[in-house]
Amino acid sequence: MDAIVIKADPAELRARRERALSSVRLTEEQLRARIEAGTATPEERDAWQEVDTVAFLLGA
Amino acid sequence: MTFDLAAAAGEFGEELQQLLDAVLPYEEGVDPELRQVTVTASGLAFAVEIGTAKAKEAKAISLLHKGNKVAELFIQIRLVADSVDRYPAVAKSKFELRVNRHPLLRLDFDRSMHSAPGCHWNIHAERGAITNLLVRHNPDHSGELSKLHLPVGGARMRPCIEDLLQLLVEEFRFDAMSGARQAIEDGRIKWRRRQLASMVRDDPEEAVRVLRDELGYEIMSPASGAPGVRFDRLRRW
Repeated sequence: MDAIVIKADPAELRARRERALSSVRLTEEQLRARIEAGTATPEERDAWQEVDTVAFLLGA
Repeated sequence: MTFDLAAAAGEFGEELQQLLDAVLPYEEGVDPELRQVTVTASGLAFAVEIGTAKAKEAKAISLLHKGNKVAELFIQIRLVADSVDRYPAVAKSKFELRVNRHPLLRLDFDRSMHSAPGCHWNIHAERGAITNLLVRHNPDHSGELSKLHLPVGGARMRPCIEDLLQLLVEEFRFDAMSGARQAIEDGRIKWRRRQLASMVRDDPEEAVRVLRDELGYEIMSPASGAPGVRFDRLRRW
């Protein structure tokens, strides 16, 4: 298996964030609050990971 | 995005893929592309994840025992351009051992972190005596062991992914490829030489002292003047 390099597409990244948020039925602010309070479920932690990655790539 | 930087990030991803493939067997019946290392490039930033190209989200690697999935390894690495925009440097990484998405062990690195050790282990377990000590003496701590940051040498001396892989295959006895040990040791040598080079750049004075006074080398300072010691880097936990 070879690794793959893909160029980020801002629209696709925003869609990725939306998919993550809708998978846990929370807004970004609600999800952030649950992460900060330490009450997030494993699914919510994964969703936050997605949101955080998108923010990293869009902010670059 | 400069060509060289993107190419170097791609090489980083390829090296990771080769290491993972040399150590951990694929899960039978699962699309192998869900284990493909994906480097997503955005300007001078790169997200290194597993399976994103196929799944459109980061996936974890299945850890097997006698061919059956028993745990997962989640890997996430973020690269940014170094100070001269020539090489990708790891800004942040997360390696997590999970069961059913629940974290058990996590090795976190964040080079910009100041409130906690830049690189630390989190242990997702309970131990009453530790909780008791934490809450009794640190009113700002919840007492949860999983929120204790166990420091592991800072940016330069932190463990490499090879260390974690060896822990997985030797202590947990997860299934491993036949040449796993060799791949781990080869990767560890590369990692430690890179880190050593970075440490020499942090503290050329000490490097010169050892080479000259202990090993007998003759060393001339550059015409432009000897670079100073970056004590800020040596000081950080």
